[in-house]
Amino acid sequence: MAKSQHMQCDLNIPFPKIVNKENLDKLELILHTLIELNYTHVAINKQLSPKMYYTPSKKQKQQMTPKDLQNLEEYDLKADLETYFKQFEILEQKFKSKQLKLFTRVTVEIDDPNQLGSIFINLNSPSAKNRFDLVAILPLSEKGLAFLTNNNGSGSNSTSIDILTFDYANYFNGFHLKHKTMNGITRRGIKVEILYSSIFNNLNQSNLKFINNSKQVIRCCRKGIKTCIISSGATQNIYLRGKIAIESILDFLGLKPDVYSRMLKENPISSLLNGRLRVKSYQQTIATGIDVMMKDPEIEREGYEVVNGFVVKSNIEENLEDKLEPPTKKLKK
Amino acid sequence: MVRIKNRYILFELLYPPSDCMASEDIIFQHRNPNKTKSVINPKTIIYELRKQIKLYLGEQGLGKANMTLQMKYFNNVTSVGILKCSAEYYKTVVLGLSMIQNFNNDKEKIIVNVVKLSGTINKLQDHSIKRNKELIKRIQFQTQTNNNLGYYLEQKQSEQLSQFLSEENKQIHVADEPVEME
Amino acid sequence: MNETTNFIKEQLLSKSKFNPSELEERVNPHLVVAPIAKKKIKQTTKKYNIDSKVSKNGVLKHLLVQNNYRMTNKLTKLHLNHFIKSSNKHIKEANYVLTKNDKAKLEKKSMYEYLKTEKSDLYKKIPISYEILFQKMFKDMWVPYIVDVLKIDPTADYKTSLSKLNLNVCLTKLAICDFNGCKIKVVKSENAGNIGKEGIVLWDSQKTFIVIENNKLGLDTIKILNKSKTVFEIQLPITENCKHSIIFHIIGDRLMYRSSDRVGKKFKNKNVKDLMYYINAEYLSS
Repeated sequence: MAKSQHMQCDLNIPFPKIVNKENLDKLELILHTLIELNYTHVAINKQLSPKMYYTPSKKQKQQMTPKDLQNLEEYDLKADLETYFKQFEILEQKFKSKQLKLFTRVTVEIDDPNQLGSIFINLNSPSAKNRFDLVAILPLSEKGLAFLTNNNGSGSNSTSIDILTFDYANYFNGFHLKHKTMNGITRRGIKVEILYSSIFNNLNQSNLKFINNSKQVIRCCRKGIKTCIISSGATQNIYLRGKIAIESILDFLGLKPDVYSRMLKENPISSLLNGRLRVKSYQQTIATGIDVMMKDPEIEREGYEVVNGFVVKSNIEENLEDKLEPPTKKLKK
Repeated sequence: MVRIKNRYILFELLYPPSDCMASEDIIFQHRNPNKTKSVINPKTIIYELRKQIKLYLGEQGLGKANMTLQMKYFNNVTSVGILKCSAEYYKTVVLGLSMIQNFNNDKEKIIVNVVKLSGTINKLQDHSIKRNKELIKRIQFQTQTNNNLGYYLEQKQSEQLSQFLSEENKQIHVADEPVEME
Repeated sequence: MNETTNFIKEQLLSKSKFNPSELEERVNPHLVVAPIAKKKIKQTTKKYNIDSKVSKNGVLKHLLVQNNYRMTNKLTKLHLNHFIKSSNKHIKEANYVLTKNDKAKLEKKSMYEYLKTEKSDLYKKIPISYEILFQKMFKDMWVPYIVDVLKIDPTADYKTSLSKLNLNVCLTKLAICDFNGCKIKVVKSENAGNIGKEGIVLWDSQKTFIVIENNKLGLDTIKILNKSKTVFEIQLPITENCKHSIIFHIIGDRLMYRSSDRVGKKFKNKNVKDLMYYINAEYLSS
């Protein structure tokens, strides 16, 4: 029987927007404190704002005022993502021997779903070189939420989103959550996320805003709050907390013990499973490898080889034929 | 029986480093015995706790949580402590502990990590002994790897830490069996 | 009302009859039940758009139509059941026969040979030995079939042949292909007694795999493995002499379809609630 491992997940640690040496060092310090606080599975989050992925076509450029044209800057998404993956590999190498497992994640901020274009297809298509383990959405307006519930839109079926987050440091910009939409979203398997790190920030009254926003979210998904996850969106070392402290914060917000014990244990792991199965298998039917949650270096440690995504086992000494052992037990007469 | 039931909270203070680290001695940096100033003692911790509870839960919350609030054990060197509080309102006390960011409006910020809750002190002592043993293992493993690189200063300081931890073990629990170092 | 008054007069009111024999007929103890006059219903035959009598593959199209589908389905279920139960019964008989004649301590091959030569009746009723199946079905039929489907070159070096392939295309092909004759092993399941069982697939039905197990201490029996809440493992040998093999996992929950239905099926992602046994179960229960 395999030993029971201790698993604790924190699925939202933001990757810095400006890639300096300082910010990358900050990231490493965050990961080190997470080890001290007994965390095992961590996902590093790259946030894409509509400026980054939206390039207006010629017609739309003609319609825009000259002021907006000046503000338009061409943004190189490909190079951005390449730097992200490079840094991620470096981080993975550093934390190889310690108990942390790193995963990749992307959140796409949606203001107007018409501006999306084909970003989901480009980001996470099966033919892309580097795929993200988790895909999340941050709606900035009511249209963005409606994107998830549209059956015709490309949001529901082909992209298979995992997580839905909100911006907890600012008031929701004029949009009101409804029971219908949240019910439909939580039933489908998409998990709503609560970020707790803005409660420690005293500037800009972000702790009050956090309480307001999270209470709204809890009220809206009535029974669906059992399938929600909690994570920190911590930009600094200091805003991280351990397991028991997070439970006390959730109790303070009005949740009950069976709910918040699930939010910390089962739900983030199931969303990770969902994401990994999307990457490593064909629509959750057939998967490669030994365990979908393990990464390549772990698999190599156990004696297998990874070639182009396939897991290869080499039997050099024995053949695959079963050797029949002579019967050792005596048959009862 | 109508008696006041108590809960005991085991917590520790961590000092997350803000400068970039020199090498792989992060465990040591998080629990630096030289960084715990004389400012931090049982009185200031409780003062800070009460301040935070008053902020988030008002005077009513403070009054409830203040019933039997007492610091039973605090070690300045390894920054580990045991707090006593009443059983009905232990959640507010834990909230207050997790909201503490700094002492006396210092620049350096602190994380209070609540490790275990229990109804008796004996279980907390056993748990802290186990924990210290594992920490000693980790430090020894690191010093072995660092030996090749030749960081002698940090080796000394980390050996110091492991000494302090094992002394604490002896203080807490007068062990009949010798402490096994695996 | 005019029609009914005539009816009432003639049939119900007895005073309306003059002839006594007609009255006696009406008091007849037997009820005469006659069918109501029905309009003829045209028996609409199922329309198949048949352009020509021969389909693309050369099979005559009218042979593809299955009449009496429900009857044949029921009968096949019964026959399958009967086959499995009878074969396991006969294995018990064979064991008894072997122990009687002091042949129980021999190797397996000689056991089967003895049964073949001397007790040929019993030998016909026992299922095939695992060795023969392994050689003929798995090695000679299934492996080259799949190596052909995935377009792997078994003679070349495994690294070069694998680097030419695309993972996702291979996985889509595997989800559609046929698993009859494949060697399967149970790796993870909620039922802890099932972990470790392996064998060669005789038939994959909608919810189970019917499998012949390699019994090291006796004759080989037929076992039924449930697909729900289990994960199976396949090892595909790429090179000759089975030196290197690729590993795949089948998640049984999502493949609960008959092999004939799975051909044109488009799979979709579903809620992962029921796959929680995939993760270490001990952690979740604590």
